[in-house]
Amino acid sequence: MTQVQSLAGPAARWGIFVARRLGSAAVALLGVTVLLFIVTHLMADPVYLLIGQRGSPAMLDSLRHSLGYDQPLYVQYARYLGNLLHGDLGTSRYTFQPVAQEIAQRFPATLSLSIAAMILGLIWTVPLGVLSAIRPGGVLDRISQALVEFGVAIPSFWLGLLFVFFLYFMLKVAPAPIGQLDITVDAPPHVTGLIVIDAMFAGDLNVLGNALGHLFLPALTLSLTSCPPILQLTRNTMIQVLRSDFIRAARSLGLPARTIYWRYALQNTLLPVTTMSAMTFGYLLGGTVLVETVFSWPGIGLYAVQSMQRADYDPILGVVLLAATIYIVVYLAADLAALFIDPRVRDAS
Amino acid sequence: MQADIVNVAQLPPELPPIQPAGGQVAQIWAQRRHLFNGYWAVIGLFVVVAILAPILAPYDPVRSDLPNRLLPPSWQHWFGTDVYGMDIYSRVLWATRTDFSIALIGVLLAVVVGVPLGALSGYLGGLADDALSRVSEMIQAIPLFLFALMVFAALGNSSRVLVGVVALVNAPIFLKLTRSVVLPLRNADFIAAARCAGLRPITVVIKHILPNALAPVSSQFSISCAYAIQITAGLSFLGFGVPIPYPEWGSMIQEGASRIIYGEWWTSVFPGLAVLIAVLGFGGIGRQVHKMYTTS
Repeated sequence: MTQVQSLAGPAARWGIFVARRLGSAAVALLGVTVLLFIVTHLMADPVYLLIGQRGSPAMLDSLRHSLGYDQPLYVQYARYLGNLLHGDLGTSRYTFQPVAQEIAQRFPATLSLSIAAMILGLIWTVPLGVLSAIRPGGVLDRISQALVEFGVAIPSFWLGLLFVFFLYFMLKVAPAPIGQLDITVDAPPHVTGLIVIDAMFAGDLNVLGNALGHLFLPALTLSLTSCPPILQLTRNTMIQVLRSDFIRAARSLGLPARTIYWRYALQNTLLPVTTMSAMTFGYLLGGTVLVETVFSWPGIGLYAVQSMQRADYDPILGVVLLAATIYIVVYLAADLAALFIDPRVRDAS
Repeated sequence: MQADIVNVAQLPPELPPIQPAGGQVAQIWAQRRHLFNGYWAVIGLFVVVAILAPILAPYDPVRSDLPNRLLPPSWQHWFGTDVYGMDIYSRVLWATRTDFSIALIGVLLAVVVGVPLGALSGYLGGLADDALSRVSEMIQAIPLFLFALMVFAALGNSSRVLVGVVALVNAPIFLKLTRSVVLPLRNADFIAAARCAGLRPITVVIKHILPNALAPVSSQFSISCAYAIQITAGLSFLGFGVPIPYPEWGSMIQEGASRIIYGEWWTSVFPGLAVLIAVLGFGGIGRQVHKMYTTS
């Protein structure tokens, strides 16, 4: 490795790093498909599920043969992989719709929830992290540490229920937890699938307000329980940055504190925070299951839970594959972005 | 200033500290008393409750009493009753047993699997290391609850599978942690010395390398217990793992979830509080242990 590095120029070194990173992401993805393939074989005999109890052994055998379930496992796996590459995630045994199509219908709901949670999360965590770092051990720092401790510990679904109780039942300021819109409100014409964005396109303030109202509580719940690590990282990185020489130099030059904190120090804190936020976002896209259940939010998490309750397994595998793919891609993107943004990471690789 | 520099070689050998009179236990307690804070008290209390649940609970946790359903908290029913008229206070106490045993068994299994594999992976390196790292990355790439649903789909819905899920999602954490402790030690001088002394690799790993992982693993153990309780409660909330009417915090929250929009808050609030406090307790202990070995 050292020899390669000394011989090759920086561009080639980048190339090697990027190629290795892409390779390991591909291996991880392939591994997930192997895992899913194993799971499908553990679940039940798919032919039996198709025919049911009335089928004779001869019927089972002939169907097994015509569907290719009697072929060696690696042939079956290759066919499974081929189907995946064609976007075929199987068929729901409950609705008889292609799983890929159903996921495509439901994914925008999860996406808008995750985006909203992320925006809310960044609004409260990054500034609070910076302010805590300015005076570690101070009142604000202690408050934010308590917020982190509770946010990580509190069960998200329970927090969601508490919000519903206080804000919907007691104070009557929040809408009922019944999905993305009130029953009486019609969805805006489909453009992006994200209801809030579609309502903006339609210029319908009534629908927009209703959608934002429904979005707020689940997004807040997720941001309070998923984003505290961002606060912690901002604070810890910021404390380190504030101890560094260039900040001391800036102070001795007499720069105003605001410039030092919010420009110079924050800028140097943002890279790890960006990476962490990207990871949190990737996690959120597959990690909204509990909160979606509490708020009857029609996203992929609720879809997976409902399918499970109907013993309908293809949708679950499809959702798992989608979430794992997103996570791996986001992780990869965050790594590569760090490589291009920060010269220090670039040189270290 | 010059006089302060002392030649270390000339110092007299350190004398063993003089043992004060009094029992060793009292002495250890005097030294370590400051470590026992609220977090330990909380977990200690939960353990006592779990053991004494049959004595402490005023009612049978699974006996339904339909005429007295959905009663708000009162002197007869401290935490009220649920939709089946079961006493929530008794159920919360009994559920401590369920949740703590699932969490502890699951995390112990994760340690039993993860630590040796991590040691192997870090000490041997090469192909085994690569393969194990890839597998744990793969498990961690799948969001926890989706992963769990998949496992339940494959193996059926039971509390045994739930324990397995807890173990499976925690094992990669212990694997990576142990590996990170073992890896830098592989080429340390004292390990080379142990090897030169003719010790078998397995002895080197067990006697000389793994003790270094004890502190980080115990800190992670506590944090994983917190995580495990969240997983247990979350999955039972979705209806997996512990079947209703068996007392478990997550499924109790689920039972109350549909009632909370009508203002019957007590069915969900008390079991949720129990989850929160238990998770805070384990998390606090984990952080404390972590701080102890990183600062010393």
